[in-house]
Amino acid sequence: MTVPTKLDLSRRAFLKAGLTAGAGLVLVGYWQNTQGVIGRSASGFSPSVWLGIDEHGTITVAVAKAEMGQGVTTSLPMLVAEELDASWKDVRFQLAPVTPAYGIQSTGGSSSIRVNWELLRRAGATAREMLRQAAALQWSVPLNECRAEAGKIIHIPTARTLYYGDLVEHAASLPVPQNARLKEHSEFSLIGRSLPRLDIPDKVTGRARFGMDVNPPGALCAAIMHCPVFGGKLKRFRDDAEARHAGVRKIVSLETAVAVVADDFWTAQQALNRLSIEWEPGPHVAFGTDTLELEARKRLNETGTIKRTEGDLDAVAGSVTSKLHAEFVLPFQAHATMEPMCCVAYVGDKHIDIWVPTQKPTAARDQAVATANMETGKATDRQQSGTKKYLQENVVIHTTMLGGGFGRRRSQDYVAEAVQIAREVPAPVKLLWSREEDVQHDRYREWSSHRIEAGIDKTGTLVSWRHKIAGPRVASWGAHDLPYAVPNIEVSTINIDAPVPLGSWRSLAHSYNAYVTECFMDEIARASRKDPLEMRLQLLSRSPRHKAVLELAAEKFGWGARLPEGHAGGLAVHSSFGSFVAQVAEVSIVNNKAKVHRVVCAVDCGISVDPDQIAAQMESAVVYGLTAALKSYISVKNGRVEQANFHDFRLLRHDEMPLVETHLVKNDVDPTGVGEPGVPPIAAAVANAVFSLTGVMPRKLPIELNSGGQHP
Amino acid sequence: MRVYAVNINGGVHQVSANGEMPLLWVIRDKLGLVGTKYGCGIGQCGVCTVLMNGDAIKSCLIPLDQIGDAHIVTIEGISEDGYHPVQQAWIDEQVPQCGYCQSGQIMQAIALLNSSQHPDDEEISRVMSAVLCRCGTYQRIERAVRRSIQLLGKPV
Repeated sequence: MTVPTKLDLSRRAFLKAGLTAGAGLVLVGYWQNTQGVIGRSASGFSPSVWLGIDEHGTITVAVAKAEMGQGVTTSLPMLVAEELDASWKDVRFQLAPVTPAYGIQSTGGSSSIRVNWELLRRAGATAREMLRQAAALQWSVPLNECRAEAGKIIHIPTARTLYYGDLVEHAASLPVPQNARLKEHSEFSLIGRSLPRLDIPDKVTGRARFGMDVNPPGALCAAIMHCPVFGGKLKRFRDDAEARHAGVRKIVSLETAVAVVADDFWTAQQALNRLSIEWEPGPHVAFGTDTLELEARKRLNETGTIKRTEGDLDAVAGSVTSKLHAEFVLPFQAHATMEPMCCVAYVGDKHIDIWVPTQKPTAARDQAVATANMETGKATDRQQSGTKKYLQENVVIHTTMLGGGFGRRRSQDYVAEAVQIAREVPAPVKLLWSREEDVQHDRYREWSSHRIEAGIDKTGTLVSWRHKIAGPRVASWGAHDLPYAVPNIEVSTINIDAPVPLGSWRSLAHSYNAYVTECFMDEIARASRKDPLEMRLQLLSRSPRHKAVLELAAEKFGWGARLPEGHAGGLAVHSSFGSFVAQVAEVSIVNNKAKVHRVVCAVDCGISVDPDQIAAQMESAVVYGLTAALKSYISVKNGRVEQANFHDFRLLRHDEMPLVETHLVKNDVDPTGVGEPGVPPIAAAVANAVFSLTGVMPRKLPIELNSGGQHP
Repeated sequence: MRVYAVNINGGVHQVSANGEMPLLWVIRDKLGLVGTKYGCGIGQCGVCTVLMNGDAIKSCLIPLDQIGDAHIVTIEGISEDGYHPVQQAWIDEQVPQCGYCQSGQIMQAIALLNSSQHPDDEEISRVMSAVLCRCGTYQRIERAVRRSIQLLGKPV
């Protein structure tokens, strides 16, 4: 991956496109981006915007999803390569440019495989058909005598072969076929195999380029400090000589922040730290997570907004002989991507360049346009003209590798800031947030408080379930879709305003609702003197995919078999984003802390595109979820976040990693994603094991054993 | 601001900078070697780990004026072609996800194998705990360190 230089800017994305009816988004013609032409070189071939083949047979697949570790730069090319009958060693990837040909580029909701499953296979199949036709014409033989295999076309009767590279010139001149046949699943030769990831060689040499590695010629570095109190603003700073020491180029006031621009990041940050800044703290100085919890306790008496209702909770109340209730509280969470927020922006007279690790490149473009067109007192030319100076087509977005995403890089706040700063400087500016800014000004996973009640009748049957979720912008995903057969059920949400910026956190509301529902299931099992596995399986009669993953995980774990002294197993099952995951955790208590020894995952995500990447995402989700279960939280006091860096926003470390094993449920359903679905069940699986060991359910996260489940 | 001679990856570079500037920023912003990453600036995450005379150090904590004539090695300096045995082991075990921390992980692993002939699982786990990975690649890192030992032909 080369970083484009200024020289590339004149070669703007160019596309000759025509929508073909049968092939969905497959576009005819050829394309190039600011990093140079891909697809059609002198004798190249690019039957759609999704791939190009050069005369050496090298296949480059355009990836229009963000690579943030989940492996899309391998799994999406696999879909093309499968139908193209490519040889995997010939396949490369390139991150797609932001042009209309690729539509809205947005990565999230574990959707990359799901939404590209047919589209990219069709792109591959279309190209394969054109290569077959080219070979048939070249040999003057009937098309049906030509077969594609591993990067070449074979004439079946004579065993003659032509490599794709030899056919591209001819293929490029052919009309694009409609409705190229897609393979039967039984014909797959790449899909279903664990292939080496295409992005890994550059990630072991330091060559992979993340956002903060971009250095356009003449680029300056910016450090930023935001008002520490949410809702506060910049009042003033003292711009004295001390702040303006060597290397400092500019100090930029933003509405809620100050940025220092210097030759290097450290100089910028040092100058910023020395700046005396006065903040206007605003109206939320009394806000804290403690005040939020007090308000939630009151508000949970409200009915809330009903998200699901079945049966009649009042009518069944008379037959309930045993009633259970519990309250759970889950904290705000930060994303803490290892690469802090960053964005490089150049705002020229006529064009804007943005280099950014982002999950939403098109939204980044739109943000850049909006911010660049914003009127300020200084930008008199813009005010006078009264027209928008920059349009979408004036912006080039260069998406880089993402040093973690987890939903954080769906927000555009740092893009807006970079553009605002770059407007004030006649050079590209690299804005890099310090870790402290990253922890204290994230777009957090929402805090939530839950009141949950269940009724059991005299036969021991679970007959009623009421779950209220209260908190800022809480959602009911993972709660209203409770898979268990309960005849009377009500799920509702109660929104509580809070001045904390919120965003998408890996698996969204599933992360808290799965914890509450799956922990409560174990509380019900305990009260009904049932085995947690048996009880779930009985209640999952209408949810066969939940049932299958749970049975598989339990079997592979050896549920019910003897564990070492002081160890216990806990399990949980949850469906999110179309996939199903069950996890069983083996836990003991060491030094009054939960130690997780082993996690067995069972996954049903339909057809397994790349089994090793599914396993990798399970390992990743377990670590992400365990961090939130055992260690990390964000608390707010006096309107400001109390944590600042990795010493107090603590992540799971290597020596806390359990052994994670992943088992796949085999079926022939179209594939769904795996980036998020492993996160929701893990905290509950661990908590249920702790419950089994101690008799006390941790009803607050992170799990804290010595204070009855309360964190400090 | 003065000029320092810094020995990095086998070459001596003249760096004009404030002596308090941490080695991390000298490497990244002054020398343009961007394989070494910033993660926390306070020595907590280890993604900035480089070798100093063969030992793993957190480059965000070492100021330029304390480097002297020490030999610094970054991820760019461990092999010409990306096939140092540890890098090969990282590929074989398909370790990286987002990849951001992996330069630090690899440098930490090389330092471990420099100092220990055949580390056991406990030592691998303890030493590698110096570097955080938010993607959760720890299990694969452990396997890759063990494979590195084999590839380096160390006696078992």
